[in-house]
Amino acid sequence: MLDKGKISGLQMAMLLYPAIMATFFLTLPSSTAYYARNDMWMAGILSAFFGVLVIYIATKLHELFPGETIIQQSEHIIGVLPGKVIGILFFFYSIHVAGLITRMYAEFVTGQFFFKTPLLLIIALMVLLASIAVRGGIEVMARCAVIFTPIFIFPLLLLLLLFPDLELHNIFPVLSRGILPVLQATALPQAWVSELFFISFFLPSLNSPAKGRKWGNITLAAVLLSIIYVNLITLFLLGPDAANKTYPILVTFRYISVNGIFENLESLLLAMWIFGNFIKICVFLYVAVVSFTQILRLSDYRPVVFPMGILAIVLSFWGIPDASVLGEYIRYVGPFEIPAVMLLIPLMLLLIALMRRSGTAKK
Amino acid sequence: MNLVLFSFVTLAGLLILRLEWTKMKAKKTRDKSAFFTLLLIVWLLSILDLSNAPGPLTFFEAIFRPFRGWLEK
Repeated sequence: MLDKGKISGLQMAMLLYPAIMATFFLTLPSSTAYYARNDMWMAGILSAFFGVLVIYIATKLHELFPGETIIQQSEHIIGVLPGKVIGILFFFYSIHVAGLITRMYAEFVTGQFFFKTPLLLIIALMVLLASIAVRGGIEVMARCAVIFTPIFIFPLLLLLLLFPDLELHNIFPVLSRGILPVLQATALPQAWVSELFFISFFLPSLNSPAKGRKWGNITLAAVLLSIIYVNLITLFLLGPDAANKTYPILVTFRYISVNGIFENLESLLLAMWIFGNFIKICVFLYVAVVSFTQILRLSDYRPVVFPMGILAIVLSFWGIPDASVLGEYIRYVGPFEIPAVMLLIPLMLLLIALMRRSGTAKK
Repeated sequence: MNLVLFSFVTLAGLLILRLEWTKMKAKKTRDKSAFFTLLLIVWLLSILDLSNAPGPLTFFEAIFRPFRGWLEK
């Protein structure tokens, strides 16, 4: 591994939790409510299957090839040249998603809060910050995550202040339109949960790799609970109308008012969203940089961090004229694109590795 | 061409070159060429009218178009 830094399992979980939830949970209730209406809370439960599978694949591959990321593993499994192709795909995909995330983040911030600030400024400042953290190494990122992830999670608890306004009967009738809309609603959560495969890039840096699966599953459980919790609160407050809002969570936060003292808590949401996105962009940038360095077998990853950051900025503008294009892309392409890279390719690699292993054992 | 983005990328690229050059000199040719190629690609991309140019999004959209029907109501 290029980075000699070591992180603990808890630190890895704290890195991965915002890496999945940050961009996701603001728009999550609208996309699940769009399909499943009042059954939207079930969407999180069904995506557990994908999460468990992805973590199993990543940790099993790491057991077979300890101390290696998926980039090096694929070269050992299917040969150098095809392995490089898969590595390039991973690199291309992670930097492409890093661009998408920064754009989503900037669209939210400029669209809801900083109306007159140029998009480029918000993107550039965030990417600069993330690049500095990534350049500092995985330990710096992990320590940032330990500080920021609790700040990222805490505002979610404030939603409990809405308790007197919740209408629990919104949940009925359960499954009145059959299971198909729920399956459609699962498309997006399962895709995001598949991003847990990035655990593959952190396992080599763990101080006790054997605990990787345990902490991966803990992260998955935390993510699923948050998805169900956020969906339920939105459903109880807004009902199936959540589908009509771009950022339903923002609406629920605006709704919070305790005795006329605690109000306008959406500014807190903005702060938390920035912390979460910082970690998320760090993780994706780190994965892109590590894949790039390992594909080309460079001696150090630090010099390419800043150029990679600029590439992420350029990609956040490439082919995205406005937010609606981005929204449509995430709704219709994301649910297939993410699992194809994060689930299908690693699954095939694992099957090939296991078959080759049993083949040599027989001889 | 997005002039703001282009000038931003040019300035940032020059700044990165200036800051990294002292450390890059000691590195292997492979590291140097990867570093410069990456900067060059980014700079060339920033010359295009990026927002309206077909890019990675168009690519992935074309690949996954057949599945889109599953999610349309």
